Amino acid sequence: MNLSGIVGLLVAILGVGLGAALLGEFTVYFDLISLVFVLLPMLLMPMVIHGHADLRKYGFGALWRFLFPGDSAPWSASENAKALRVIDSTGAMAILAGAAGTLIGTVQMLQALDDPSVIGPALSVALLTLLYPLLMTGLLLFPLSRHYRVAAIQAGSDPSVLEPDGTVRHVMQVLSLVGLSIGISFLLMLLCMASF
Amino acid sequence: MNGSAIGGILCTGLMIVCGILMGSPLLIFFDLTSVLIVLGGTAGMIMAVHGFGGLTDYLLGGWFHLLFSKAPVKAERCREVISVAQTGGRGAILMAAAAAMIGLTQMLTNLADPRAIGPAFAVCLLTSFYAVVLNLLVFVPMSRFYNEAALTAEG
Repeated sequence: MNLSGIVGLLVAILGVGLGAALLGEFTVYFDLISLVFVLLPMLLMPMVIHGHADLRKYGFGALWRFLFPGDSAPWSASENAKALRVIDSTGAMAILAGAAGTLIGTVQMLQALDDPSVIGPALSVALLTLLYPLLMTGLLLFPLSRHYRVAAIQAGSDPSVLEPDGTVRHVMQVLSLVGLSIGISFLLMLLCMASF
Repeated sequence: MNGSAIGGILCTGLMIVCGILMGSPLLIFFDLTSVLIVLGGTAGMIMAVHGFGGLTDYLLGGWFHLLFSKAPVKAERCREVISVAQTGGRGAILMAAAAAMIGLTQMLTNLADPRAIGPAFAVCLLTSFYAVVLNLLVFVPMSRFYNEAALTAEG
């Protein structure tokens, strides 16, 4: 059992959860449709990229191995690198799906600008679709991906070949685009509220 | 036939359509200006960088190969497809950001006329939506899939 790993993940989750609970009601953070919208691509698209056998072995298997290493033989450099790639695909797909969901919610919200009292809640639900993948990557996938990156380097892999296609950086560019769109929609929202 | 690839992409696409249909008709997510800017801009960028073959052979051919074939691909071809997919993904993001500025300019110059705001804001947000969906369903899966294929081909 990897005690520091489990305790670390739990402390991070507790920290975020308590911090959010201090702000107010906790139920506002739960929206089933947003959750499905993020989880489905997060599990399906890595299957497209890596095939389901690899997703099972290097995705879920990597998580299990991180939590409970047991006595099993350590992975070789290429296996660690493969786990790193599967985990990065999962995170990238979750964030991209969240970005798409947020944009859908924002467009739909701005279609109904007549009633300012529904705009705020609608936008907050739209932002939840982005919150879930960010929490998942921040609290689970990013630590896992760093863990397997370190493990691959320790097992003798060349650091320069570990993330060759720059997907992680690309996803950050997508996030900045979403930020731009949300900023514009806020501007529009304020303009419409001022005109009422 | 690559069952898991077709199933995964179909399910994700269907899920996006259902997500739209839950809140509004599908038609408000179609805007000709945005389609022209994102698709035209991205296709043009790929053609300019990789030639006509980049669009037909590497992008479409690579995409259909991902969906329908399990035959191994040569490592050089994989590298080429990866770079085409990356050009496409970044090009779509750049085009969407430019289009957001186009829409914002239109919106702010016509503030007095509330009816002009609608189409302009559609250009702002729908281009970003198209770019993100293209990245989610086409460019990022392609670049990651062929990255794996290249590593397999190199052994």
